[in-house]
Amino acid sequence: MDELRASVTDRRLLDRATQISRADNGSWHQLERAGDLTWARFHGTGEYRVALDLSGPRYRCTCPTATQPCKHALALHLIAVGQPSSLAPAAAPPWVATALEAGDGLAPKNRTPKGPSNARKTRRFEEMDAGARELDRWLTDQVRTGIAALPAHAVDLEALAKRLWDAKARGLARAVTGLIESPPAPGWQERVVERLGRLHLLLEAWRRRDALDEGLVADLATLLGVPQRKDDALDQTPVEDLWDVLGSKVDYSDEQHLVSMRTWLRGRRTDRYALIVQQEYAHDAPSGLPTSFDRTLQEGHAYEADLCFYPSAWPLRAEVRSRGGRRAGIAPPVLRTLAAAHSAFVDALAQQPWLWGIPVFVGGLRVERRDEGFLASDEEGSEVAVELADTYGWNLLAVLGGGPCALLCEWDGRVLHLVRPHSEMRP
Amino acid sequence: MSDVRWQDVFRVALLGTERARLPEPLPPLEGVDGTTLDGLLTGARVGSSPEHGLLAAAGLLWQARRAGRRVGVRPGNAPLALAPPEVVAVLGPRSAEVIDYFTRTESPLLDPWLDAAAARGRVAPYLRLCALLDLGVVDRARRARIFKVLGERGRWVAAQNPAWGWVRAFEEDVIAPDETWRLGLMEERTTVLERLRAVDPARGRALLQTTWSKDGASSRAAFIDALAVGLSEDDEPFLELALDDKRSTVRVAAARLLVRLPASRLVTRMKARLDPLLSLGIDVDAHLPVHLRGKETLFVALPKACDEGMLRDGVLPKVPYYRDGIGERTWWLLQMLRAVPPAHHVRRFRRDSRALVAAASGNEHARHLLDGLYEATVTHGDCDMAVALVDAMLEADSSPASGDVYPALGVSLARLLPPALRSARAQQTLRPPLRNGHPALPLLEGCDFVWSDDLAKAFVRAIRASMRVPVGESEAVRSLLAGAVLRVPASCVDFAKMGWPLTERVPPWTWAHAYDQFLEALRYREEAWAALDDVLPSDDPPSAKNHARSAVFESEAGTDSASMR
Repeated sequence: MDELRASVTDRRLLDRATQISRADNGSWHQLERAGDLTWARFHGTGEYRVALDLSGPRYRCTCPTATQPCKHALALHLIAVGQPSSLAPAAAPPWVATALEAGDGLAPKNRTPKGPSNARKTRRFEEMDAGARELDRWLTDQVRTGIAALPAHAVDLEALAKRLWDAKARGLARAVTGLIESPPAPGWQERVVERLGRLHLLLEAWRRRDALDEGLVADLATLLGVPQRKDDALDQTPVEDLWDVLGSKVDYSDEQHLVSMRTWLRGRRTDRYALIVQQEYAHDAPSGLPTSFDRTLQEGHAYEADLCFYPSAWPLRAEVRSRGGRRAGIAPPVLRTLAAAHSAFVDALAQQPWLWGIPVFVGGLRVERRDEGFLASDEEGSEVAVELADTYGWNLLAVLGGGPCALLCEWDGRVLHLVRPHSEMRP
Repeated sequence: MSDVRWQDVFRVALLGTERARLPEPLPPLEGVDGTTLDGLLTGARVGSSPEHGLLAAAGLLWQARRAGRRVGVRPGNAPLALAPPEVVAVLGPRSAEVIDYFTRTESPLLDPWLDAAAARGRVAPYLRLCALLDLGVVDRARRARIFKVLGERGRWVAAQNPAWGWVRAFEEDVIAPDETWRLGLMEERTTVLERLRAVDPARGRALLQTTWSKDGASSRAAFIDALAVGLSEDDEPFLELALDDKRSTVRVAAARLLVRLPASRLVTRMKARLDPLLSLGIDVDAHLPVHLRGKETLFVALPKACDEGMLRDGVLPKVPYYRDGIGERTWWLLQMLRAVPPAHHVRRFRRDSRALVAAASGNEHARHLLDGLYEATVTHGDCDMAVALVDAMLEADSSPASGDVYPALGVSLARLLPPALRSARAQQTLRPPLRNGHPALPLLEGCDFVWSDDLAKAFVRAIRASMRVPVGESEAVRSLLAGAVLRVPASCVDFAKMGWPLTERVPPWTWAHAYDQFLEALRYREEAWAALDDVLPSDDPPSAKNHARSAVFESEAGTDSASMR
C-alpha cells in the first residue's frame, strides 16, 4: 500500500503533497471511497479530478503536470492511508473507472517495461540539457569576471537555482544553492573554486554521456536530479551474499516529519558495502520509527540475502530483494588502518569521481580529544579528525576510556563522519 | 594547500579570466609523478575557452587533491594514555537510568542517592559520567559528592576537557595544592582553597596570604568567601586586615565572616555603636494602641550618620534595591543589629529572649527591630532567641489583631529549633488548607530528617485536604511536597497511597497531579536505591562495554527511552 509513497524520492514533491493533503480550506470535494477505490475533486489552479486504486496502486489525475505521480494523487493517497475516516463511503462514479483505465498507474506489472520509460527518459534528459547549458554559461561568466564578488549575488544564485529546478535539474539546483555557505566562513573562496570545478566536470561528463558506461550515466542522471526508482534497482541482477548489518542511523526532520533510516551492510564474500534507505512521513508519531519501516535487519547480525543495487558506476544504495536466515554476530572489520580506508576511497573515486564519501568500517581505532575536536588514530599512528557532536563525543570517550574500537564511518578523504561505534567488536 | 598549480588556478578564478591567465603549461610538481594528471590538464585546456580550461583545471585539481591526500601520521605525539582500571565496582544500566531521571526532573533525591552510591564505594555508569561532570560545572555545591563517584574513568575523561577543570582541583592532592593555587583558573583556585580549608584551615589561610597582594578585587572577595569553610577565631586577624581593603566588595565579604565570630573586634565595635541606640523602658505614650500601652518597650534611636569606621566594618551606606522602602538610617541600624549576637542584648538588659521579643514588638520601629533580631539570630545561630521568635510569630499568626510586625518565618530560622521542638511546632501548625505563606511550610522544610510517623501522616492528611487551593497559590506547597519524598519514612508509604486518588471530584485546575508525582517519587525512591546493588561484573569488561556502547548509540539516534519504565 505504501508502494506509491516509497516510489517517490523527491522530498519537495512529498512536502507539497503533505500540505495539500492537510488543506482545510474547502479545496477538497467529494472525498469518497469504495473498497480500494478512492476519488475526489480538488480545487487548485483549476478543478482536478483525482482517482486512486490502492490495490494497484493505480492513479489518475486530470491536472496537466508531467510529474508522475502528481502531488494531487499523492495527497489523496496520504489521506487514504493517514486519515481514512475523512473519506465517505459511496458508489464509484463512472469517471473513476474510466480514468483509472486510461491512466498509466505506477505498478510495474501495469507498465510495459522499456519503451515508454525510455521515451520519457529521453524527454527528461533533453529538459535537463537545457538546464545544464544554462549552468555552463553561468559558470563561464563567473570565472570570466572572478568569483570574489560572488556572495553579493545571492539573489542571482537563487534565481538560477529556481530555473534549474524548473528544468528538472534539481540536483544542479541544489548544488547551486549550496555553492556559497551562508554566512561565508573564512576560506570560502577556495571551496567555491573547488565546487565550480566539480560542477564543470559534471556538466562535461553529462555532455559526453553517450561515450560513458551505463552505470556512470545513471550516477550522472542522479546527480543532475533524476530521482532513483526502486524498479531500476529491482531490474538489476541481485547480489547474493551473507550481509553483515553494520549499523543504522535514523534522522528526523522536525519540520516535515520526515523520518529516514539508513542501514549499512557489508557482504562477507563480496567484500562490498550496501546502503538501504527508507523514508517515510510520520504525521502522527513524531517519535519512534514509522511502522512501515522494515526493521528486520538487525544490527550486529548477518543475513543471507539477495540485494539489488541501484545502477551506478560504484553501486552502494540497494534494495533487499529476498532475505534468508539470520546469523548472530558479524565479521570483524577488514580495514585496520586509515591509510587502507583512504585507498578504498581513492579506488571508489576512480569509478565514480563525484562520490562525496564512502562508508568504511575500520577496526582498531582509538578516539581522543585534541584541541577543539575529536580524532581517531589507528595502529600505525595515523590520525584523522572525526566529526561528531560534542556531548556524544565525550560520552564515547568516557565509555571507551582510550581503548580501541571498531567504527562505522563515512569517509570523505578529509574527515571521518561517525555513523556509530561498534558494540559487538573487540578488535 | 601549498600546491603551486592550485594556487595559480585559485588566483585566476578570484581575479577572473578577463584580468589573468593560467600559465602555459602549469608549473610541474616536485617529487611526484604527475604525468597522468598533467596529461589530463593539458587535454582539458586544448581547444577550449580560457574559462572552460580554468574550470576543468579546478575540477581536476580538486579531485587530485582529495584523492592524493595523505592520511597524516601523528607528528611525534605520544598516543593517548589508556584510562586506568577501575578499583571499585561500576554501577549498572539501571543506575544510568536513575541518574538520567534524577537530573532531568531535578529531583531532590539525586544528592542523597549519590551519597549512598559513594558510601557503598560505587562508580557512576560510564555513560553518565559526562552528565555528572557537566552538573559539577554549574553546581559547585554538588562537586564533592560527584567527585566521589567519578572513579578512575571519570577523572581520566575530565582531565581532557578544560571545562571540567574543577575535577583537577579536587584531584590535586590537598598535600600539594600550591601549583594549582599559583597557576589555576579562578574556579580551580577557589575549589583548592575550600578543600584545603576543610582539612587544615590554617594552611588554607596561609596559602591565600601567599598571593593576596597580587589578587584582584573579585578574586579576593571570592577567596574570603571560601574561608567560610573551617572559619574560626584564628582567621580574625587576617579578616580584620582585609577590612582595610579599599574595595567595598572585599570589606563586605570580610565583615560577613567576622560577624560570625562573636569575639571579633568587629563585633565589639558594633556592640559599642549599637548599645547607646537601644534602651528598655515603659512607653506611656497615649497615642499608642491600648494593648501596647504601659508595656515594656525596646526604644530605638536611629544612627545619625554612617561614619568612616562603619564603612570600614562593611556597613553599606546606600539602601539596596531589595530593601526598597526603608530609610537610610534604618538600614544602617539593621546592619548593625545583624552583626551583634542576640545573646548580648539578653545579657545587657537582663531579660530573657521572650521578653526581649515582646519588648521589640511594641515599638514604632518594631518591624525593623524584629527584622534585625531575626537576621542576627540566624547569623549567630542563637537557638534560644529562635524559639522565642518562632513562638511569637506563630502566636501573632493565630491572632492577627496584634499587628503584622513580624517578618515571614523562614527555613533558616526554623532550622535553629531543636529537632524535637521543630517536629512538634510543625505538627501543631499543620492546619489545612496549606497555601503559599502558611507557617507550617518553612517549619516542615526545616525538619530535614526522616519524619516521625505522626508527622508524616499529619502532613499527608493536610496536603490532601488542601487540594482545592488554587494552583497559583500553592507553589510553595508543591515544592515542599517534592522535597518531602526524602522525609516520609518507609513505614508511611502505604499510608500515603491509601485512599488515593480521592473519590470526591477534584476540579481539574487543581494540583492533584503533584500528589501523584509525590507517590511516584516515593515508589521510585525504593527502586533507585535498589539499583545501587546492580553493578557490572568486573571480570567481564567486554560485555560491560558493549552495553554502554550500544547505549551511546541509542542516545545519539534519539531513540533513548531513558524514561522511568
